[in-house]
Amino acid sequence: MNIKERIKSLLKEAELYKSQRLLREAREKYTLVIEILQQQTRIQNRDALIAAVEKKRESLDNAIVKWDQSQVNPEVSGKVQDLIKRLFTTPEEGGSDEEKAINEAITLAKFGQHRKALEEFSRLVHMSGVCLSAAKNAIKCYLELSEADEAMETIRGWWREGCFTPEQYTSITSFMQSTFEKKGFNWDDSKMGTDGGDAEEEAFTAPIDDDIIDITSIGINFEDGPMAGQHVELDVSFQSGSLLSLIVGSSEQTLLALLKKGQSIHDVDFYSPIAIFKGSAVVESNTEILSGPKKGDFSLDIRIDSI
Amino acid sequence: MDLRSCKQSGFNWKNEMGDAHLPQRGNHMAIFNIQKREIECKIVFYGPGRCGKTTNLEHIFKAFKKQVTGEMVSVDTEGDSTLFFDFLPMGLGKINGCDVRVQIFTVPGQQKYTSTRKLVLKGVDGVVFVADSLAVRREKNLLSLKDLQQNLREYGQSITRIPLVLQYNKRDLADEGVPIMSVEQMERDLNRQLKVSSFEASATKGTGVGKTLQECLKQTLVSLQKELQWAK
Repeated sequence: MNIKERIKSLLKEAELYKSQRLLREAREKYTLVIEILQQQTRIQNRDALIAAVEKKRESLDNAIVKWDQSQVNPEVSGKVQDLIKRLFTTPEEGGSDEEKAINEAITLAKFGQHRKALEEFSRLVHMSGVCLSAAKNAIKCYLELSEADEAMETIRGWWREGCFTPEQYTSITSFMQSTFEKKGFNWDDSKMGTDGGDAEEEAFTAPIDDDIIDITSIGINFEDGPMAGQHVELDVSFQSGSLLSLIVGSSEQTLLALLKKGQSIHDVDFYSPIAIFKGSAVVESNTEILSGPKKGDFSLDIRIDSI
Repeated sequence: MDLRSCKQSGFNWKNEMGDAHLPQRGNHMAIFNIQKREIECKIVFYGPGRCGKTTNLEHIFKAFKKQVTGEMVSVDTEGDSTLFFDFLPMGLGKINGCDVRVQIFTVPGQQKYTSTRKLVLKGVDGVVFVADSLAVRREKNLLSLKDLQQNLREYGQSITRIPLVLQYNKRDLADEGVPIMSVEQMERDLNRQLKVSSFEASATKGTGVGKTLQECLKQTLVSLQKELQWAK
């Protein structure tokens, strides 16, 4: 193949790759053409040819830069967001409308639809059954948007509106602090305050959130006390890293008495879709639900201690 | 091509009635509802960027209108690259007395969409891996297959056990004078250990698309049948 045919062939290849939107591959071919032309002295209109191919290559460079800078998860239309919710939210048997709504909002957040997810969390935070989950996921969304100040302001605002009990607020600020620090945002304790709640230090080192797989339910094995020898299974209503939220019915008074805030649970089975893990946990909060379909039941947050 | 011929796979609901029970979900998304006699499963078209996953779906949408039960939805960028996913719902009709529905998805293939790919892949029951026959895309094919393997593993699934079909797309470009890999080379690269069914295709022309999907559906339904029997 002579030089002219080689150049023609390379240009044809480049054009085909360009038509396939294989921009880098096309660029490589243009570069090769330019290199070949630069080595030739006898080709007519050589300089004009080089300029023409360089212009094509420059156009590709612009397209490549535009592509590289484009957002991975831009906000899409409401119609597509509804489709995302419908197709990618796993329905749970017997779940309430609130639980369905929070799961859908979390799905949106996973697909990078943070603004829309925040709208939904802002609505759901006023529902006592899911307010904790809504608040914590809202914090995550704000941090994904690099809006740490807005996160703090919003949580304070919800606290002033009475969305949380003091214990819930403590749990939220504790979660917010660990999330801020993990993501490298400045944390200022004085900006939050608890206004009557008790800030409790963590007495252990919890597993790093990113390492914790999805836990769908837990089984507690009681070795002693009033429930010695019993195995109790509880569904996880929400998980944020190593923090699991559970609902315990109001009729389970013996169980609730054993799962007071601060209580360590030594023998726990953590059920995930792929395996059962054994470990231990600590009760971070035990709060009565004051309104909504689960009124009278109790919302427990337990943190995985080891797994 | 009649996709319902996949019933020949031997998928059989007889003697499996027992009592009505709740829809089953395991690692797969497939939903079985014995009471309503419905099965819904999920197929994902996977592969590197610009290999022809969306083009496959577009052809399926046009060629199998009778089985398509809704609109094809594409969430893509200005340059027509898939941004989040393409989605196409299909119904295969009654197979041994049960309504079989399929949700077909494509994933975005470019490297930067790693997390989206993983989200879309969740709950998959069967995979079509679309490989690009262009020689310049050889490495991308390999990286994408490895990516599939890793994502499946994170969901507790194995690439060697999930229903999987390979498609060697863009075979028609050999006529355009650009370097394409031989089928033998692609088999060595991608199928030496997996040893799954593979098909040559040209999604823009429609050749090989139906066969690929049919085989994937057949394998998926057989696998789901085995799982149900095993669960019982």
